[in-house]
Amino acid sequence: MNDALRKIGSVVQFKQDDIIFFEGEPGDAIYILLSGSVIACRTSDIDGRMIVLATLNTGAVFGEMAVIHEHKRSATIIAQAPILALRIDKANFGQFIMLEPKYAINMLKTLAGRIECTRSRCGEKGC
Amino acid sequence: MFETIKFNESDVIYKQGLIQEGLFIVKTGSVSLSKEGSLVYKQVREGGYLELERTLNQLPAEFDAKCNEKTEILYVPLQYLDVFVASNPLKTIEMLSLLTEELEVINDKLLNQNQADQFYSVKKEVKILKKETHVEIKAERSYHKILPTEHYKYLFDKDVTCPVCEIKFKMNQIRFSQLEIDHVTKDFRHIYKDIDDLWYQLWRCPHCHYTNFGSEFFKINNLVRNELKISLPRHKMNHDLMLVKNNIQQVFADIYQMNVILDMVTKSSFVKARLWQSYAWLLEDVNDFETAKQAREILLNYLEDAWYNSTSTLDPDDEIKLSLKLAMLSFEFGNIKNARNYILQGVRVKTNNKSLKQRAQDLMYEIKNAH
Repeated sequence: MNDALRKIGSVVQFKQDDIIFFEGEPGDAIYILLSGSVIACRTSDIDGRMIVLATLNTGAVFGEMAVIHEHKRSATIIAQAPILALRIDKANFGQFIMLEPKYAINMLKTLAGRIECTRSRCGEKGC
Repeated sequence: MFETIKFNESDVIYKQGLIQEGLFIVKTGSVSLSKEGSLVYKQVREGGYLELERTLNQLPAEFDAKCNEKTEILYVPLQYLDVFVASNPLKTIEMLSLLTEELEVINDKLLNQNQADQFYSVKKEVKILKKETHVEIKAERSYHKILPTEHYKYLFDKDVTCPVCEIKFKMNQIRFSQLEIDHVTKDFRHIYKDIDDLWYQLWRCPHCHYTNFGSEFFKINNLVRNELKISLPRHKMNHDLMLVKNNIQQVFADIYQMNVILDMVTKSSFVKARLWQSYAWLLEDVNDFETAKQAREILLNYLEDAWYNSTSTLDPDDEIKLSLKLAMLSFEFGNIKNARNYILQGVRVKTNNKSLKQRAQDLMYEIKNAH
């Protein structure tokens, strides 16, 4: 990770099972997963059960959906193991893209991959 | 490094099945994405991207891309994407935004599908029966979806006196001043942040079960009042009871009740259509898509009746919306001729609402190209 990125972000750590953010919270930052893995879940409207949407590993960017759209968090993110992540506040998001185009490309490709993956899961389930 | 390519009307940019080595961004003009030359799936206009996620994933194109008019395309080879991103941060945020929007829609679909079996039991049926004079709903099916807790923030209780039996009761009413619109769907459903207004639009007297839209509740004349007084049963009730809805099944129960007395309480096809539109939307909310389709068929009948027989004057925007709805529904049920006719009339209406006009033109193009 380069110095410029350190200046606009802060390294945060979470223990296993810690919740990084909850579905429905305002999106105030994005995270780059420096080590460990997290799961993205949504709560069932019916019984409050958690439904796992995706597992994200080292190098993944998450939390970008709410920041880009200024929406609330669309999923809850839970640490599967102890993790280290770089937190970049919403205000620094534009700067982050200019400083680190490779992360922006990573985000574009990750999102595109997640769309295809979710679409094929949808296809299997007939939705 | 980045190339602007000029195309003429009807030029094919690429064919379905080919893997693209770069992004196509529409600078001017418009492009139709279609499958095997048939129904146009999407029209991409100035500033839009052609199959962005498939290009980024290096997957074969899903559609044929054909120019509708003279069109300029900015071609960004994937090998120079880093240069493009670094020099165009706003365009990059726009691409991220488009992809997240798409992902949210698909995530919702997947979540809904995971929950589909839990909302209701398919073993129990709902039958929509078209009788000579009215439409009957025979519903054995119960829908299970609890009241989202966020709704409470937007509700207050309102004292109401039933115009039929004159009993006083309390209704949940939405604080409309606090509503914040999230988006409007293709079929003009207003989606608000944290609350669904469809849960609260019908008022039902707990004593005589007279049910109507809140906005229509007191608009019945003496003749109707007397007719309802005779025909509606009386139920035991607690007069202080506040009718708090905590499950969507109660919302459906109100719809069924209003449908029973629908012809008695209103002659307006618009009001009848409103009830069936709400019913169709709520059925979609619990993933009962099959019944929702049947409800839309009834909705189409009422809207057609309103279109041909109503004496109400609509403002130009509402007239376009009605023609769009009729065209979409006719199209859905395979009546392309009617769909073309409705949309043509909608396009002819003069309005300053550019986005509505654009939507009408897009739909006209889609219907025109349907085989």
